Amino acid sequence: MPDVLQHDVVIVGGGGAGLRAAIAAVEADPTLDVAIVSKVYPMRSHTVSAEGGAAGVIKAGDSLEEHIRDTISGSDWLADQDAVELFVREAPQELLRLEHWGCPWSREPDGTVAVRPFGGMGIERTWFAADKTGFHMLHTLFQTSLQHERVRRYDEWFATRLLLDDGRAVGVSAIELRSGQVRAVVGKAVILATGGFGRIFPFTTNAAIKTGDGLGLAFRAGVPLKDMEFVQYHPTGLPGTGILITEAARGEGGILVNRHGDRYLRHYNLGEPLDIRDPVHPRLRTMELGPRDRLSQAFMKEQDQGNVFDGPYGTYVHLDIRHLGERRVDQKIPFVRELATNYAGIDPVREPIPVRPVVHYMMGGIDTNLEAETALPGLYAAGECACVSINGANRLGSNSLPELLVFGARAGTGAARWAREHAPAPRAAVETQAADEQARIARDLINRRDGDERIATLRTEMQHAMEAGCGIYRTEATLQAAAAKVAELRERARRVQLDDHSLSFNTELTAALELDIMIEIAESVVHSALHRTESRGSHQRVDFPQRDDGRFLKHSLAYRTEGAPRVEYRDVAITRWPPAERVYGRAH
Amino acid sequence: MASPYPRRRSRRWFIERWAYQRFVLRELSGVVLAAYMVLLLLLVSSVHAGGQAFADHVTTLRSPLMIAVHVILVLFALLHTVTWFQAVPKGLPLRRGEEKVPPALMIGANYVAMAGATVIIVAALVA
Amino acid sequence: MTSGATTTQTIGFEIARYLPGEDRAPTLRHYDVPYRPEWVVLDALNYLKDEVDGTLSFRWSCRMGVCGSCGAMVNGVPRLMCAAFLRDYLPGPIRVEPLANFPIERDLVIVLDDFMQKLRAVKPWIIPGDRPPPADAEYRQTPAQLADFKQYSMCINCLLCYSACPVYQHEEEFLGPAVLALAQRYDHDSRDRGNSQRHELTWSDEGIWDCTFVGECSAVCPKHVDPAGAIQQAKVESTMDWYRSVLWPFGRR
Repeated sequence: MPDVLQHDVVIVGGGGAGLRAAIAAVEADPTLDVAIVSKVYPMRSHTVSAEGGAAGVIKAGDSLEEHIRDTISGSDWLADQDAVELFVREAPQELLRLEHWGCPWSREPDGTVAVRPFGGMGIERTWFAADKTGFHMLHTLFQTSLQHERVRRYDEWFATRLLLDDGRAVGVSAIELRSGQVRAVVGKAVILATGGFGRIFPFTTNAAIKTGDGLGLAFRAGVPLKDMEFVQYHPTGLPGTGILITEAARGEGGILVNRHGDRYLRHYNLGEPLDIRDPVHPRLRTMELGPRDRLSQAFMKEQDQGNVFDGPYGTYVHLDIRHLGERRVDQKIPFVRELATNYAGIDPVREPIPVRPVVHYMMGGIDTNLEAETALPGLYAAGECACVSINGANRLGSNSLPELLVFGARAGTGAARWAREHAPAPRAAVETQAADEQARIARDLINRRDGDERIATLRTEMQHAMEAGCGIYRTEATLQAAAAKVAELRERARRVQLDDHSLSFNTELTAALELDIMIEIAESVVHSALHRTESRGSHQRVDFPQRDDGRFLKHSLAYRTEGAPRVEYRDVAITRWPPAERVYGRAH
Repeated sequence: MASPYPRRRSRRWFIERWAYQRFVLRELSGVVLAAYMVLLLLLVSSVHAGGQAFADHVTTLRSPLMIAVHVILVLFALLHTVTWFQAVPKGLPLRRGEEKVPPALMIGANYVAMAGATVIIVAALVA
Repeated sequence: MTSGATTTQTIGFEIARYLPGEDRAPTLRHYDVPYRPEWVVLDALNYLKDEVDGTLSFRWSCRMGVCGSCGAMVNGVPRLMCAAFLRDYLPGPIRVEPLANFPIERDLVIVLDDFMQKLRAVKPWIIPGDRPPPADAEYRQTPAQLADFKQYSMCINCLLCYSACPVYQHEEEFLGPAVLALAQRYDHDSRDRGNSQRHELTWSDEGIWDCTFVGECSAVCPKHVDPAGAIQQAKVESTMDWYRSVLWPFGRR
């Protein structure tokens, strides 16, 4: 029988949300025993790659009301307004806590934290640590968590299945990568904090680990996935690699120009460009500081008109930051210079940076409420893997970092409360489930010799099907094609054959498990997109170009079935901000 | 359970990389300079003994072997000076507000100071 | 990766392979990989894993030099594989081995338990001491105060510095470059009052005084953290502290 490791709260994922949840849980009750199960060491988690910043109202002249309105209009009115209100209210306290824990926020001369402008925000409210904000937040959280002896980490353990008892979540079965053994990590509450799933697309800013594992765990346990059709393309990724060039480059004054030297965003209802020497440039909520969905869509229109450059790695436009000067670039966005120099071979102080839209963030995720609870008792979710929803149809840049803090902390506190009120699951029940899981993995993957499908082939086919059928612009036909392809891949994935039959650090095994999850998630994305016959935020249907509040001011909820996912709907929570037109580039 | 392959130690580590060889030479320069102090003390003692002893000592110093030894001594003294000055901005980084004082400036200042001290000492000896 | 310029040229790789329980020692195995000038060593390894040999094991994630997963010895020098371009190693072959000075878990995967334990040992968190954080506000920290420790906060824990350090090779108890730089980062943070709690360990013979200032840690650091500088700076501070304690009869400062 597999080992059973007993804790009070089990957290899956050791990135920003998972670490914040762990600290919150032990602070809520220092007698609790908290486990973090993560497939990578915490400092490798993808929070590390976030660059630009974290939004929180702190400066005089800003107001919670303004941040709420920006977020709601950014979401194209699909965000739950009660959730946004709570999020905006708690974000500044969370960012301050990070400050108290040592996060090296960039500063004003008087020693207060500095803020910078960001896309879709009506005022400067984005806290930043140069352009490595996520890196500094993650390391601060990780290092702070080290002082809590009751946080026990299982680094490089891959969670394969949620363990259930009597209709509630009581832990996970996980492979210890070093030994290849499956064990049960058991608690009274489980928090999923595994991040997004950008890797279902071929061209993404996301790290290799972002395969949606937590969504897979929840989905297979019957929890619905919410708003999965909303995929954020960041307008400025490096062609070829998909490496992110932060929005802060535009926040500091960088401009986008097409192959004719035209600041093309002027043609897309984002306002009039100001001269780059104008002291008001960059103007908030205007041109380059419009929201990400609109900027990425503008690129596609320019591409259709032949106004973009053509290079060996696809089409691109120029992000020009030369006018900022070397000093400002090195002070505010040094990582942009490092990345462009290393990976695009150009020094952005002297040449414009080639960029194109790239899959960046998933608005959708595991359906949770304001307390980070899912429909399954004892199961919580936070961070990019969850959908509360504060992001609706389009997330504003610099809202995801405070989101993982706010809802990570709420998940931790909630799970701690739940753990105090509930008894542990009987050992026999979890042991059997973990043993089944061990047997399944051995039979279907490690010991199988009669498979005929290769992981990389299936993965590549899935990624290209998603890009072709479910990209920035979608139609019934492209989505149907993607749906058929993904269904076929789901069948073929049952016959996957590994080269590696060993137990120690078998990364081919984890790749197979990830692939299986990604295909299921991709299917939920495609079917959610098929059912939403309107255009809203990042979900643009060429065949249904209008927003349709009458039918679709609703969250989609995808449930797992043996066939294609079943899609249901739930009304968006509208409190004080009735749906209106999204206005950028002029007074609203 | 299968165990990891143990970490490797090398007894020849110091010749395996140029950087390590450079490090060993730098450390050696300290020993060599200490040896020079012994030579210097011998000189002082011969001066103290006076006349013939001093003349004998000077003759010894003029031998090709001793000249070669001194050439090596000078090279090591130079190496010691260069590496020591290079270490200064590492151990004592200076800052003017947010800006780091450029290491080259700090190293340069040390050379200027050394040149100044040399001039004063030589002037005092000549005078 | 989208398709780039195709070519029939190949470049050779010598990759260290070790499977615990099967192999007695690591051995180099030869592979040929299509040459693409824009590829990094990590791209070549992923090509091999996907298309040629699924048993090849290595860590990687962000492929943009910030997660710190993919350190390895490339032609004998510790590098991030995501930042080592094939074009800089022409005509090959390129030798890829696990980071030196660590036990080998499998192939290019090293055991970093020792580092993780040392990281915690130096208390890398803010110890507010007698200066608790202000309620509902940030600590005031000027840009100059930030600049005093910022460089040492840039470490991505990639462990290249440990691989370059001959002291760590021979004395396993040495805390090592990254961990000591991190301690210096917190010691120099104006919000922190925890120096005295760290120095017992960091200013000991397992800490800064084990360092002989070879300086290679700083030479290989991909983030210009300069751990060697941090350690020499701490040595100066430790020495000054000792002189103060000896020469100042009425207690320190």
